[in-house]
Parts: sequence; structure tokens; C-alpha cells
Amino acid sequence: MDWAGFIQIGLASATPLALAALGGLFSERSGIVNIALEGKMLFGALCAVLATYWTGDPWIGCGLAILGGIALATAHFINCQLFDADHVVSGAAINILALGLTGFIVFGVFTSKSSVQVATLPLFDLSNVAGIPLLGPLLDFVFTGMAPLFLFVLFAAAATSWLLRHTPFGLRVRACGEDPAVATARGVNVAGTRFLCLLVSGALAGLAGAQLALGDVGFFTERMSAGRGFIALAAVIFGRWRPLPVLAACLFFGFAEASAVRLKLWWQVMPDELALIIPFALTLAILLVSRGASGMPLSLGRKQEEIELHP
Amino acid sequence: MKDILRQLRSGPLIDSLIAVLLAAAVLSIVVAAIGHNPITVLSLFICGGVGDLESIYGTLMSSMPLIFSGLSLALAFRAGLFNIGGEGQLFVGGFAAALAGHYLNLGSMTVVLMMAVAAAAGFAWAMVPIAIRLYRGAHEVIGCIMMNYIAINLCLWLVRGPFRAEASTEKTPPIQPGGWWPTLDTVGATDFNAAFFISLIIAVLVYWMLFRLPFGFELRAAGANPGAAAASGINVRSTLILTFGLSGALAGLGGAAEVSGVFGSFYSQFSPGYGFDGITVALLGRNHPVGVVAAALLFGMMRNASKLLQFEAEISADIIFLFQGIVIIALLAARPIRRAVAARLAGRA
Repeated sequence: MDWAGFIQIGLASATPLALAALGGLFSERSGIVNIALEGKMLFGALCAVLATYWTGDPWIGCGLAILGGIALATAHFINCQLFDADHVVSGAAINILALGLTGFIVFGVFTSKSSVQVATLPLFDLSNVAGIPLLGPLLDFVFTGMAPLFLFVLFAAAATSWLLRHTPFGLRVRACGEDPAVATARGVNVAGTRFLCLLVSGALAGLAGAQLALGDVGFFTERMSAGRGFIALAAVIFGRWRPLPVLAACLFFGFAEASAVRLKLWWQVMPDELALIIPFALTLAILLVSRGASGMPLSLGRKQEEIELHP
Repeated sequence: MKDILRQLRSGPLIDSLIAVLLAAAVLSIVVAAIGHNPITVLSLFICGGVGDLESIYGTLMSSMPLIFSGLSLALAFRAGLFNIGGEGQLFVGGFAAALAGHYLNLGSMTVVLMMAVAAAAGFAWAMVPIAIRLYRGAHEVIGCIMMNYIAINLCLWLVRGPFRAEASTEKTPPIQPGGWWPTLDTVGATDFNAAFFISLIIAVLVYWMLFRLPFGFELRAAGANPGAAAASGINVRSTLILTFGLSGALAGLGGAAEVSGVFGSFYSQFSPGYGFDGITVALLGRNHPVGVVAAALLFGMMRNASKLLQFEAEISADIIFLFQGIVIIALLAARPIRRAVAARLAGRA
């Protein structure tokens, strides 16, 4: 069995999940439920492909994907914080909006449900350092063929962990998620903190979409996020709203996806539809056996109206 | 002046009207931005939706599954639950109904059996997310989405593989003649059939249950304030389980209605997203059966007209989802804005 290839596919599948999940984590630790990850990812994927199509540079694609994610995250913030709307309803609205917007735009630009092929993000290539004794082959083995955004995810998860636990900003974020009334009383700007968290969340979810579209396949097709935003959200729950366990959960799901691909290669008569079911069935199975809500921020998803009624 | 104030303070109807108009305005700008004339697009929507008798029948038949899925969502929303799993429940309901309708023949009662089987399938499919919510604490939306993907892929596999009737289309074998709802052949409307009226009857039943039965009261109490409901002796947990199951059953019935009213078998393309449309239908209809039927007619018209739109103006049917997204956000915005306006007017008066 080709283990190196398997690991590569696993890490590549885990990368968009982990980016989106870290985004979800930021939003949820500040108290805002984020089922809009799916929509931001989808919209980010389209933005990435369009910018790459126009400029030819996939990194500009990543930039536009980040902006696209931020735009939808801002809408989510306005709904949840300023209009005091139900976070889940707002998230559903954003997902539906993203579904319509992407389908409408991709049809408008390419007169089809899919875009044309564009350039993909380059993979690390350290084969030229393989000549260095001892260290060279090791670096080559570990990094060559790896998605650069995967390294970014490792960095982002560690940074998030440090930020939430050891900085004043992190303390403010957690205060907003646990008890916004007390946070306000202690002088924390709850709306501002949540807005910042949602911007980060949108940027990461948009980048997740860019990785999805430009990491391997190099095109956009309708509904290509295919539930990954929700799997990422499930990973946030399994990781109990803590960055490093969340990253671990995403790696697990990434490797589950890679296993499904591998299973399909090995057992070719298996119908595609059944292979597609595997990640969802697995997520569901884990939701059923895990203690779901432990570690959840106490005021997650509570509207101001509710907090005023039942403090 | 007083009337205006009262309407502004508690005017859900106004919210819905404003939301639709606002969404139409935003959509006009989007359509104009890509070089179409908004008036032409609007007239295509109206011509394709209610232009002649045939398109009116088409609109009513497209509204039918939306009434079911809208009622499904509305029932769950009333209990404070979000059944985003309507699409999956619609698929399993439709598939189960198609199999029952093909393999079992009860004469003219076949169609009733199909509805019962579909309702049971939808009910069962809704049990997993609500169990995860109540016993594991994870939001039902995540479980629902997982169940959606499982249902859709499972049904697609079954209809493409084991239960495929003929090579040319992805359809199951046809249902028994007794599995069809009667059509209104006498007025020349062969595509229009009694399934639409069944959806209206179900809407009346849901209204009756919500506002006339003790269970409906318990359901609304559990949704409005679970703590108070539990304190007054309502078993909140079992109320929520039953509500979510009934919500799934309604979505499943929508699938059966499609099978015995439109296609006569399970067809892989039988839903353009009716289960998701139900979210907007319920919210726009203010979770009230009458509002749901009205909103379903609006979106049924859009779904029916979208074919003409795609054909004449080369605009994707996804424009409907865009419209829905804007409608929901406008609905979310309408209440605080309406209240702020009311407060300012009251201050001036």
C-alpha cells in the first residue's frame, strides 16, 4: 500500500476542514453559533476560482476567497448582533444565499454549473534539498507534495490555542462566549470582540474554500463544499471548542475521507454514492457516542433578548 | 396614526411583505448588474408562473411539495427546533412511497398506504437528529445535515442500481394505477391532480393540531419557554421528540405527494431543493399554516417559472435560492427596524 500517497490525501482532505473548523471555533468561543461555515466555504471556493481565472495567480485567488468569507461573516454578524436574530436561522440564510449566489454567478460567467480549469496552489517541492545528508531526505519526505495551507493550519491552530488561553484578547473572547452581560459590565466591548472573531472566522472559512477549489482539483462546481462546513462544525463539538483537539478531529475526518477514496480504489464495484456516505455516517456515529455539549461556551447562541429575560 | 403604530409594533404581515419587496428590489439590481432588464425578468416570472391556465396548474403543483415542507419546518420552529433535514426526509419518504406503490396493490387505497409509508419513513429519519440533540446535546441542525447527505446518496444509489426500472432514466418501477391521485381530466388539466388538495387538507389538519389540540399547546409552550412548560407539567422531552417526528413525517408526505401526484415513481431529479425551500416558506409564512400556504404559492410560482427563465433569459434557477437568502435576512432585519421606527413615531406623537 502506498502510505505516502495515503497520508498526502488525508492531510489534503483535512486542511479545508481544519481551516473551517478553526474559523467556527473563533466565532463560537465568542458566543455566536456559526452554521454559516458551509456557505462561506462555498462562496470562498468560487471567489478563489474567479480571481485565479482572471489573474492566473492562485494566491490572489486565496486573497479574494478571504474577502468573500469576510463579506458573508459580516452579514452574519449584523444579523446576530445588531438584529439580535436567531444565530442558526441567520446561518441558514447565509448558506442559502451562498448557494444561490454561487450558482447564479458561475452560470453567469461560464454558462455552466462548473467553472473551467484554473491553476492550482503549488505544492511544496523540496527535492532539490534532498542532496543534503540526513536532513535533506527527511525534509523531502515530510514536506514534498504537502499543501502549503496545511502548514498554515498547524500554525493557525497553535496560534489560536495560545491566543485564546494566554492573551487579554483571548480572555475577552471567552468572556463574551461564557457571559456577555458580565463581560459588558467589566468593560469588554462585546459587539466589537465578536465582530473581530467573525472576521477571523470568515477569513478562515473563505480560505478553506480556496483550498477546496485550488488545492487539488482547480475548478469550481456547484455545491462543491458538500457538507464539509457542517463536518467542520461537528469537529468543533468533538474537539470541545479547543483548538488542538479540534485540529485532531479534523485530521481524523480528513483521513476518513482519504480512506473512502482508498476503499473505492481497492473495491472498485462499490458504488460512488455509498463511498460518499462514509464521512457523514462516521460523523453521525461519533455524534451519537460522544458527550456532545461538554465544553460548550455557556452563552453560545443565546440572544440578547433571552439573556435579558433569564439572566 | 394609532393603527399604524399598532401595526408597526406587532405586524408580522408587514414584515413578510417588506421582506419580499426588499428581496425583489435587491434581485432587480443584481439582475440589472449582469445586463438583464429587471422588468423582463419579472414579467417572465409572472408569465411562467400565472400567465395561462397551464402555468397556473404548474404553479399549484410546484407549490404542493413546498406546502408540505413549509408545514414541516413551521411545526418544528413552533417548538423551537430547526428541521433542516427536510430534504433527506423528502427523499426517503418519496422512495419508500414509490416502493410501496409498486410492490403492494390495495386498489384505490394504494395511495393512502403510500402516504402512510412515507410519513413513517420521514418520522424515522427525523429520530436520529433529535436523539442526538436531546441525549447528546449537539444541535439538531448538524445531525439533520448528515442525515440529508446519507438519505440523498442512499436513494440515488438505490434508484441508479438495484431498483432502476429502465436504462434510459433514473426511475424506480412505476406505481400501481391505484397509487395515483385522480387528475382533473375533465377540465383538460391532465398534469394537475388532487394531490394539491391533499396538501391543503394537511395544512388544515396542522392548523387544527397546533391551535385546537392539547398537544399543539404543549408544543408551542415547549417552544416558547421550555422551563415554564416543564414547570407546568409538560413532558418537554417527549413533546420535542414527537414534534420533530411529525415534522419529518410531513416532509416525507411531500415526497409521497410528488410520487403519486407528479412522477408515478421515484425519480432521481424529483426535488430541486423543496426540503430547503421549506425553511424560507415557513419563516415567510410566520410558521402559521395559512402563511405557509401563501408563501408556498409564491415560491411555487418562482419554481415553476424558473424553467422559462432559464430557457428565455439564460438565468440559472439558483436565482431562487439567492432570493430566499435575501428574504430571510430581510425578515431578520424587519423586526428590529420596525420596532425602532415605532419607538421613534411614538416619541413624536
